[in-house]
Amino acid sequence: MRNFILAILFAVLCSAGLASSAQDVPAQAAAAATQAQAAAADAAQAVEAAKSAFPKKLSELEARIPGLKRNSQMSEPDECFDWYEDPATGHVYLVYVWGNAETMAKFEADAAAVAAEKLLAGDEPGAKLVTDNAKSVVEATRAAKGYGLVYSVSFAKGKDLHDGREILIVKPVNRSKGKVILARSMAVENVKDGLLVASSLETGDVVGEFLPALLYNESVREGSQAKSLPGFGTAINNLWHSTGIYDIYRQTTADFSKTWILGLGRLLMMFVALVLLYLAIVKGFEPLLLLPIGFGALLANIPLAGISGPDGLQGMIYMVGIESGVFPCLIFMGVGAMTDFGPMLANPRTALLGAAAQFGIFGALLGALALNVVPGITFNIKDAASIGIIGGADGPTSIFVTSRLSPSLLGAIAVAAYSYMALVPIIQPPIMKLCTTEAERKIRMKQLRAVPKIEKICFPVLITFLCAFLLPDAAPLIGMLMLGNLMRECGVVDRLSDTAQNALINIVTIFLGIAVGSKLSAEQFLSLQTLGILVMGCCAFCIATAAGVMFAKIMNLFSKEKINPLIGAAGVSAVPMAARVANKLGLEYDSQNFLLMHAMGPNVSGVIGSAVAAGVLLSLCGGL
Amino acid sequence: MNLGSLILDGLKAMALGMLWVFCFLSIMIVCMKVMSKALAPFSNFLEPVAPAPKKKKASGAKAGALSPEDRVRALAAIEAVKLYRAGK
Repeated sequence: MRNFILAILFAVLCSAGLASSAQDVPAQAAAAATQAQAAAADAAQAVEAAKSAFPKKLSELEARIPGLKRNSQMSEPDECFDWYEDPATGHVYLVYVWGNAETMAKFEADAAAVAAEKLLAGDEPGAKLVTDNAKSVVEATRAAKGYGLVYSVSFAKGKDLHDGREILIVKPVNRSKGKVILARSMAVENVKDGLLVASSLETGDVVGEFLPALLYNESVREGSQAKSLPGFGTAINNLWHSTGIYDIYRQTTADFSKTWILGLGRLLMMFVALVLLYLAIVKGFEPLLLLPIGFGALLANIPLAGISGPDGLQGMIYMVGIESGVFPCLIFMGVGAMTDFGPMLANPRTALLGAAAQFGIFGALLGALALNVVPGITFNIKDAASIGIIGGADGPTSIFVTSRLSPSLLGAIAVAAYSYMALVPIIQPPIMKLCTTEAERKIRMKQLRAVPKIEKICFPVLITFLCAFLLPDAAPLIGMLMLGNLMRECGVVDRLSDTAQNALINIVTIFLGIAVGSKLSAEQFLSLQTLGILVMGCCAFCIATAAGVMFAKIMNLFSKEKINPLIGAAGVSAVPMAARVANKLGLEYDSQNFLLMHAMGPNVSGVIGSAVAAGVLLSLCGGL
Repeated sequence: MNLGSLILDGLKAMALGMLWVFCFLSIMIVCMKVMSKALAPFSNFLEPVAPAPKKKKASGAKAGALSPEDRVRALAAIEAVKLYRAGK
């Protein structure tokens, strides 16, 4: 019985095994077919993905999109970049083009034009030098494939960008920085992989894909589903990558010789910011401005925070207050409300000393241009005008002019202007002593007459008319100065006058300092040009002081009533510091010779003089 | 642009700029002098009027008269000054 049962079981098992082996053949075939189908689908998907993937090069883009056409209307013109449009979809692509045949041909053509000019002027060696130089630049650029180092990126996938926004700054090989400033609002569809600060670009690289769009602000934003957090390891890695230490390390080590400014340079600038804070707090050098500027510089150099970028706090304050020219004008209103023009009205001829001291501005302008002989320093006439205005010893005027003529130099120029203003008691006395004899320093001046109130009220109106008719370019500065002064003198708007000379000027000073600090970022400040600006700023102060003193001596040759030449040094604005210095030096040689009120005349006329000089420079260079 | 032409531009800017600054301030000085003369007849116009000094009520003795004690002190002070000047 037991054997019978075992035999049946064996038979059942055998039959089952045979059946299964008979069924395996079609099943395996089916599985193989499924696998083949999946592989084909994957391959098709990969081909599709490759087609839709972000193109890396312009050649790839041209191969993929038939009828791709150039459209240069998307941003302000810059030789380094070009735009290409897909006529079917309306998408536009930003391409880095420095180093391609067209840009190099244009560069050579420009050099040839300069060489032709030189040949016409009979300067054959000069022409040859220009041509040879252009050739070597073109060769070097081609060899480096147009290498461009990314200095700043302020756009990301999915972001909406308004027109006028600066989205990218690149330092290409053998030329000045290239910028992309949008001329149309658009949405960012795609961005080149690894486009970060301190990364590099080559000729023909596609930087981004955009879709031009009319942007509006939505009052209600639709909710979106939040994604879950990444894994623990990825999260820690992301956190590490978001630290300042990692970013400084990454930017320093990307290509040290080229990118150290973006990494280590930030640390250096933080040190500079600490020095400014030290000067303001411990030494008391113009603390009202150097403190916010110093702290602003600290904020601007924080890696990854982007505070000084177009979306950052400092960037926005800069755009609203300085780029528009509003802050310097408001400060001028406060200065006007604090200034008494009485001493100048009482002795009008001292106003000429304020004019003479403006020689410092133009002397420094010439000096800045002459600095072009130093390798690594390149100043055009606009830069030189901005540097020269430091000699006006007037912070708001310097900022106003520089923001219009050379915004990239603003940080260095503002710091130089305010630092040297604080150093007036150290810079001026040796020059004043050098230019005068002891007898001249002892000259006593006649007591000033009392100026009636009606004269003081009519004066600001008169100057505004003069400015309107003679120099409208200086009207924003002089107009606000005179408005502030009229509020002070008329006596019927004490509350407004009080606000202008206290609350308003204090608030504006805070924001002005923070905004100027934003221009003290490493990539803008750490250059040989900054050193040139600091040197020429000092020269400007020295020249202005000497010119004022010497002009007073010249006036004494033709005048019965002698002027103490020391008050000529007060023509450099820096109200009232320069006047105090003149007074102090006068008292050193004659303890009864009080020059303060006499020096206030050239001092306040220096403010008007520097504003006039600023207007002239804006008028001459603004249209270039 | 070569250095020579840049410097030339700088010199032009200097000549024009200084000329304009001197012209502007010279015209300003002339205008200030003319304004000062034109407004001279109205110099008291808008000037704050000084409040009249309040008369002190004479109580008892004449206003301004010294008390006997103050008179003694003043005489002593005058005498002291005289002695000092005489070198004694």
